[in-house]
Amino acid sequence: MKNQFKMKPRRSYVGVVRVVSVGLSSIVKVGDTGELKPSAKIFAVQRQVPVFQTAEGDLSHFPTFSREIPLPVPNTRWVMHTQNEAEIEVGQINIIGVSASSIVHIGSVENVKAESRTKHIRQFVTQ
Amino acid sequence: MNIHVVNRSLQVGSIRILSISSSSMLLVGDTQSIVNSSIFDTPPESVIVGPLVPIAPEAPVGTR
Repeated sequence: MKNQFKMKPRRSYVGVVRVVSVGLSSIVKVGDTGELKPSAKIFAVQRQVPVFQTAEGDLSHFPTFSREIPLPVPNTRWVMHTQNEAEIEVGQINIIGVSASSIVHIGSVENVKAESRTKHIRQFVTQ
Repeated sequence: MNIHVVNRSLQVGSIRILSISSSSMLLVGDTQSIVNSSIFDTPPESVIVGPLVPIAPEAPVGTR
């Protein structure tokens, strides 16, 4: 993929990055990237009784996880000219948790397409 | 439409974050385009009251 940056992106200088936990397909990256496509599909069930069966949660049952998300189409043509006169500087970054396909990115990235789909069900159990 | 941006000094002392979750992002840098989409689905029928039945049961192995 050709470098799409119209102008040279700035460099990012960070003094300290502290992250306690990086989980569930998450990324901490220092450097430049072409394209990022993080996607999280979450099926959350709150159940009244602590009973867990392994063969549950087949996401294909729900259109939530398969239907296409309509994207807004810009209706005006625009051209952006950027003139960078300084780099990006951050002293400290302190993060406790990065989770569920999330990204901490120090540096520039051309395109990002992030998607998160959550289905939440509350299940009350009667005898 | 013409947009002209002049970026001068950009300095941040400290960033403190408890949590970044569900394909969110902390970006320290430039970007061309970001598209974020999110669906949160909890319709009325997502409250189930009844005997304990498995939800969205997976097809038993070998039947799909």
